[in-house]
Amino acid sequence: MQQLRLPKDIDPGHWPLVMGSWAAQKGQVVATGQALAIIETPVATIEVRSTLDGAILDQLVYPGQVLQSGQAICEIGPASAAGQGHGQAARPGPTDVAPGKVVPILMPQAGQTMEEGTILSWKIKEGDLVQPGQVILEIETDKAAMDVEAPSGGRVARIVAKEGQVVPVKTPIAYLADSDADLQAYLASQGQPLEAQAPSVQAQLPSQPQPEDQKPQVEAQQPSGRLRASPAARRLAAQMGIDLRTVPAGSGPAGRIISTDLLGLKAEPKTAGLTKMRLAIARNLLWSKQNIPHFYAKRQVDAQALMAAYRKYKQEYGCTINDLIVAAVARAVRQFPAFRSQFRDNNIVELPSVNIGIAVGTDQGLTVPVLLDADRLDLRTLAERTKRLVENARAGRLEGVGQGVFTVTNLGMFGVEEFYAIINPPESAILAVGAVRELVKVEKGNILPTHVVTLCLSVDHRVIDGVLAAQFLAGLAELLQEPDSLLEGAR
Amino acid sequence: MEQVFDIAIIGSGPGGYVAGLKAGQLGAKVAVIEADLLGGTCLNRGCIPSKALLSSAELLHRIRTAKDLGVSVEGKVGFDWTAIQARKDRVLARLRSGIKGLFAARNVTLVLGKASLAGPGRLVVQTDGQTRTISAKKIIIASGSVPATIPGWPDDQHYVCTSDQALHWKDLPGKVLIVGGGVIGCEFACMLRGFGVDVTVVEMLSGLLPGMEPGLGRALAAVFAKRGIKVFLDTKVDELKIEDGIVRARLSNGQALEVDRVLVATGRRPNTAGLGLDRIGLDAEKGFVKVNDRMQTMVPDVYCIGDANGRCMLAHAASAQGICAVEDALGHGKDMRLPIPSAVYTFPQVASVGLTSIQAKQQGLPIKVGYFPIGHLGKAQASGEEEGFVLVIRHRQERTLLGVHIIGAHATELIGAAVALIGQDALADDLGRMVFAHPTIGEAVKEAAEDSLDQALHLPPRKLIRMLAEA
Repeated sequence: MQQLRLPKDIDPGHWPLVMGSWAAQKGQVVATGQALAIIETPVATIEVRSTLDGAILDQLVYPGQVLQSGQAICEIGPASAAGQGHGQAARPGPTDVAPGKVVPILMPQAGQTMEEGTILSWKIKEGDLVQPGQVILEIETDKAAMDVEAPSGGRVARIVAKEGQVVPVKTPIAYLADSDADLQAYLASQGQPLEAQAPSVQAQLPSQPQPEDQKPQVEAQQPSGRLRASPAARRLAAQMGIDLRTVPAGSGPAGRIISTDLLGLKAEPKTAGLTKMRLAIARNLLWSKQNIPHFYAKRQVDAQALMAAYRKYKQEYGCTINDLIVAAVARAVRQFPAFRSQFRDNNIVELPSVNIGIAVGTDQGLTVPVLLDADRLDLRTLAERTKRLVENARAGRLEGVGQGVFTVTNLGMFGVEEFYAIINPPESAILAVGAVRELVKVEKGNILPTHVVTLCLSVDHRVIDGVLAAQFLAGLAELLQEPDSLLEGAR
Repeated sequence: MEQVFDIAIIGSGPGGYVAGLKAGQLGAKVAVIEADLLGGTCLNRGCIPSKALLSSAELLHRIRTAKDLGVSVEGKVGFDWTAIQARKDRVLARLRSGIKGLFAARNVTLVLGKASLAGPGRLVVQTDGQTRTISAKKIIIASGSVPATIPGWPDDQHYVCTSDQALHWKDLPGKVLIVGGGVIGCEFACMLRGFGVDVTVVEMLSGLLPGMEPGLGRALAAVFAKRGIKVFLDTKVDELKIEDGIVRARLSNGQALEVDRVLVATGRRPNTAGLGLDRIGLDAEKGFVKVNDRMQTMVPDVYCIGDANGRCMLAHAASAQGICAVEDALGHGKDMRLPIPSAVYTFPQVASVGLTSIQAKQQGLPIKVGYFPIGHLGKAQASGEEEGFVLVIRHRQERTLLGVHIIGAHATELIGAAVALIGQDALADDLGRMVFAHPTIGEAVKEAAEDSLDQALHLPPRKLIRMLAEA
């Protein structure tokens, strides 16, 4: 075995020497003077030729590699020595494969309709000796998985189809041969490239740098996993919500996606798996809307006193507007037992405690922690407990689950003026609170600035009728206009 | 009186003053402390003065070669060294006052004096024997570098000096030995030769401009040879002594030289010794302060930019790092990973950005190289600027532009286009398919990119040479 090197005087000009392509492949037998490799320099292309006869045992450099003069590029040895590297020191007995004989192993055709098979797993590796009839691999057809047996015994010289590869029937997937030289001679006689892999039905990802790189790639997705897209295209795609991986190929150089490729495209619907929370929300609210006969009542409430109280107590009690509203709701629910009653098995069950659910939007979805005995809490305690409830809910810890009798949901902080909520079963009503907003009211011919808030009540008609809903809202409005009454908890 | 700043910056070179302006622009209360002249090495002892002198030298060179373009210059062509120096000094003064004006416009406080670190968030500044303390939430060290000298060599700066002195020489030597064939050595060689000085360059490594694409240094050496600049490569100065007002040097190749002055241009070392790094527990490696991609040092709230961190000893790198550090200090930091171009103001000029073929080799990247000789261009021939070439290095499979290397007229201006493209991960195809104005020297960049794709039109297919391998 000898190494062939680049001539020392290959580059008098100190130009970058770049390995271009191989003119002789690994395993090929070359004669003195035969081209081995093409070396690129900025000013010339250099064809490096062999100074020895023999087989190329190994290629030591890859296309695109920067070389230096005198660098070894390949190993060459006697043609008969090729393949001795496999360590056949103790080759047992004669085999079926006569010297010089090569047996290709073909993808079997199992049935008239079979056109191709997938290599599931090889049970052998190159260099193994196999017996006739030995199971050497498992394949999968469009109908079933099956074992394939060796057609004859011998040494596995080369496996040319990888696991997972889809190969047409009657195509060689491996070869049995005594020596690699025999195999090379055979392949050459078949007119096949020596390093040829089994033709693949689906493209295989190249694992080595490809000698030929000049063909523009049509896929924007590169073997390396890098997505080819211009910076402008990336920005635009992000704005449009388009996943660039779903854009098949761009019109830029080498299939790169450029911004104009995205014109006229629409964001594809994305399938995201359902989280448990999302699934629960979907089931509960679908059931509610399908099974509870909802009706709705809306009332605009003067919030002048509420705002004054909020400003007054904010510092002292750390309360929010919503806390004041929850406090008022708790008292109204205490006052109107129907709003803590539930329809169960053709019965109406009245619950003793005023446990108010507070709807909290989290990153994962809507949750409703429950403030127990809300009517008994003074404002300071109510504010503290609510704050803790909400924080815990955002952190994924729910309190009072299943014990609520009535829910308050508030989108006022987002500027929503009014909205209708779906009842949170098994409760019978839910109050949707909008933003407190400033407007002008006319009172006895005078124009006055004031605050209002819109309350929308969703009610289960099986439990509560319209008049009762109206009375509830009126009572609530009254409580909100006397917020000082909310400071102490009910006895 | 003690003041508290959001950011205090030690040094007003291209790193420090730009950092100061950025901090001012972002509304921070910022102080820039300068021990010497505003603008640091770049403005006073580096980029700008050398370019001012080179412009005079290059004009002289153009006049001397005017007859190539059919222009005859009557009488004696000469120069007034004092006037050239005075013009240079005017340029520097104007630029310094420019920085002052920008500082004022952005509310940057300029503190004159020598700063040292006194503790976390505290600096002591000494001005004319007076000491004051400055407190700052964040500190940016931008103290730059000084030219390296060679221990054991005569220290009479009239005979053996660095670029610091050579840029302000009152007169020119008849013969000069330049030790070091890097950027500074080559620029001085070119400039001094332009003024008629007998120049010898000695470089320890095997090519001029070490670190850059080797073909550039080789081409520059050929130009130098034509101009009568003597270049010794793979050579060291074994001995140097001053005898009877003459410097005698013995080279490792056996050569003996007699020159009037020696310019040491062997590199620069960080200017961090007097800063009191140890007082805040900051380690330095050979004087360089280690930083991460956001210019943060190991000590919280202390940054280091420019030559002092040794990442890339170029003025524009320092400026970019300064902006990076200030943005991070004020809470909108991001890693700095942009390509930094280098520019050499010889004539012809040399400019580079991105990977060299040597770096590609070290990183094992498969590449393809495109080439275009500038002399093939219509514009080059028309304007008599035919020297040089462009090399474009691209990734062999992914086709991304990895490096662009230019030697030729206006190279330092041409590199900007390549910087913009490499900085956004463009492909060689992006450069190749763009329409460049004709006739321009810049067409060579486009053609070289096309050549890397085997698509250059103004270049015949490469000749094929057959060679036998060596066993």
